[in-house]
Amino acid sequence: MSHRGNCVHRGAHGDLPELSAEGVTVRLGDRTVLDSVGLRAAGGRMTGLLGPNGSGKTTLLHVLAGLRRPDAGEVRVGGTDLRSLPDRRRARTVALVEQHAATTVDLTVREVVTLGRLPHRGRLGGAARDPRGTAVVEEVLGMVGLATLAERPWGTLSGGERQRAHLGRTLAQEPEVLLLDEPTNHLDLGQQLRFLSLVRELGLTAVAALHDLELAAAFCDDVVVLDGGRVRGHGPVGAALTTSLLGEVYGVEASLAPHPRLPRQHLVWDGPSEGSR
Amino acid sequence: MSPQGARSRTGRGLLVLGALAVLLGSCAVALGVGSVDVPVTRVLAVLARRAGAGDFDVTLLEDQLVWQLRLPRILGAVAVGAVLASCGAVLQSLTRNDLADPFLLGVSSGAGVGAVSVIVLGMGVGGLAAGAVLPAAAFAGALAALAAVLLVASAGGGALRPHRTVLAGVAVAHLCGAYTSVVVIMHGQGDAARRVLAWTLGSLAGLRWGSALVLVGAAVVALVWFLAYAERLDAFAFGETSARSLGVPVSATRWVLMVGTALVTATTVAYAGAIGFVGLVVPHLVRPLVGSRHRALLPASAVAGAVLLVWADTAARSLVDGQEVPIGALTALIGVPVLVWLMARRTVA
Repeated sequence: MSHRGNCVHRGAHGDLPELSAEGVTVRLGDRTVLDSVGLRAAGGRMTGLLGPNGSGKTTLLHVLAGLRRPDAGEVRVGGTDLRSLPDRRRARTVALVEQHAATTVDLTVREVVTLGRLPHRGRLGGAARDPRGTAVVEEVLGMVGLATLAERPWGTLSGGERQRAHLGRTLAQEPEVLLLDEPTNHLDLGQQLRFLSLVRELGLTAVAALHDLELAAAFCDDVVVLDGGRVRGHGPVGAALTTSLLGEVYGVEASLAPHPRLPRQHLVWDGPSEGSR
Repeated sequence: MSPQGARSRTGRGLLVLGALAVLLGSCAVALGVGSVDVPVTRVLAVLARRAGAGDFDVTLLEDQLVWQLRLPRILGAVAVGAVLASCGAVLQSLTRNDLADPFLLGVSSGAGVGAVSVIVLGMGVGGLAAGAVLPAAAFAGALAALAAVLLVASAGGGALRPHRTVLAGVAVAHLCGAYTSVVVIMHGQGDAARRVLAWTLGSLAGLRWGSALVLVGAAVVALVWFLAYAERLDAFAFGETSARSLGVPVSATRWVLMVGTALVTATTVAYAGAIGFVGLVVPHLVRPLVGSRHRALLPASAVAGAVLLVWADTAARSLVDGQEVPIGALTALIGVPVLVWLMARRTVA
């Protein structure tokens, strides 16, 4: 954490730390939600966390964010055990864009983004201990394209604007690792593409739980596929998302194929596999 | 004033000055109003003489009315209003519930048990003067109810989840209410029921200098304490997970603030009864003016709550000759229309 600069946007080539998990197990009563999950999210790369509903994606993200203590296993950021970090230090290391973060409190966009400075301020708050705060908030507002909407009340924002404000709040934390829990839910296609492009351009170590395999194929470098709380596939998109894995986990006949116009893979599906759930 | 205007530096400064001016003005006027009116110039003369600013010619009656009776009562109103309104703001944010009020954790109903035990059953405490028994019993009852609510709410976890805490508060309040009604119905003699009801609706009539200073002390401690948590409270806007991801120790913050608000609320209830609606409504009134950040919301709520109670108490002691109108009824009379307006506005939005 000694390399923390004055710039939120560090680019993909910085010495960004790897996020890794090993043997992460979470039980809820007698149900095993996560069963000895291990993963590596390489520094500066975007890792997609995939899997059907109820496969444990949100729980895993909460463990990776240090918000939930696993029954077994550990999470490391650049070699440091997340549990050894005090709360505020942890919040400067890992930030989470939640799935359904709604509010009835009428904050402005700038106030929401400024919340992200909390872990940088003194324990009793106050801007005096955070001299860079205002500049970082301004920079972040520009990065997420909300500079002109900074004074708008939360209640007047569209879904896409709200999601960008949430991203702005987490960026104001100046984290090394960014976690996103289905950030494109409830966004239209244009908003989904713009949002994920924005996240990619940040060049942070990112782990995003995604529902949409096509978006994962387009925006992620690597993927981790969860099913029933276990890792079923892990690796670069093209290698991990095999036809057999997609059939087993999602119950579909599908495969990756070269994009007709772009130098990347995209998802081609035929339909649900025969005799699938 | 628009929220944007109020959030700018000058706007905020003006708002603070204006609010304090309204508060001081309200107190000055209230000192003169009552069963016997004292002109403002005479009020100031009494205050100046007492402050040692000169030998002003005031009558004994004027000094007695303004300095001995009304000033402690008004200071008490300021303190109780400030405590209830700021506690309401804290708890509404902490539980993310617009209907949270300072009595959320069963404090008022518990105090009712203590009060009814003294008023109806005549329970006493050896060594305490008669006037001190009622506040002491009310405070003890409030603490017992708080302990019960915390015990139920934190069973099997200890995180004081808002949903469980609200339910536990409701449950304990009903239990206390059952005791209170049984005691009043089975054992109440003469005007016991009327006296219990009067206590329940609250009154600042019993305040003298000693109790007023306790209340002012509690208000100062509470405000400083809550303000230290202002930014952590801001982080609760998007819920518990988001607060924790911002590095806020959610469970510890909840414990400290829930117990803290309950203790200062219990102090006000011991001396003034359970004055309703101030804590519920004032934060809602203040938010459109100063925004939702607690650094502004908490002091603004405190000042607005203080002004509301000064006027409600002035009305309580001067509307009807020779009789006190219950102050809780007056705050409800103001509070209910405001709440209805607020709900209508929210539905439209």
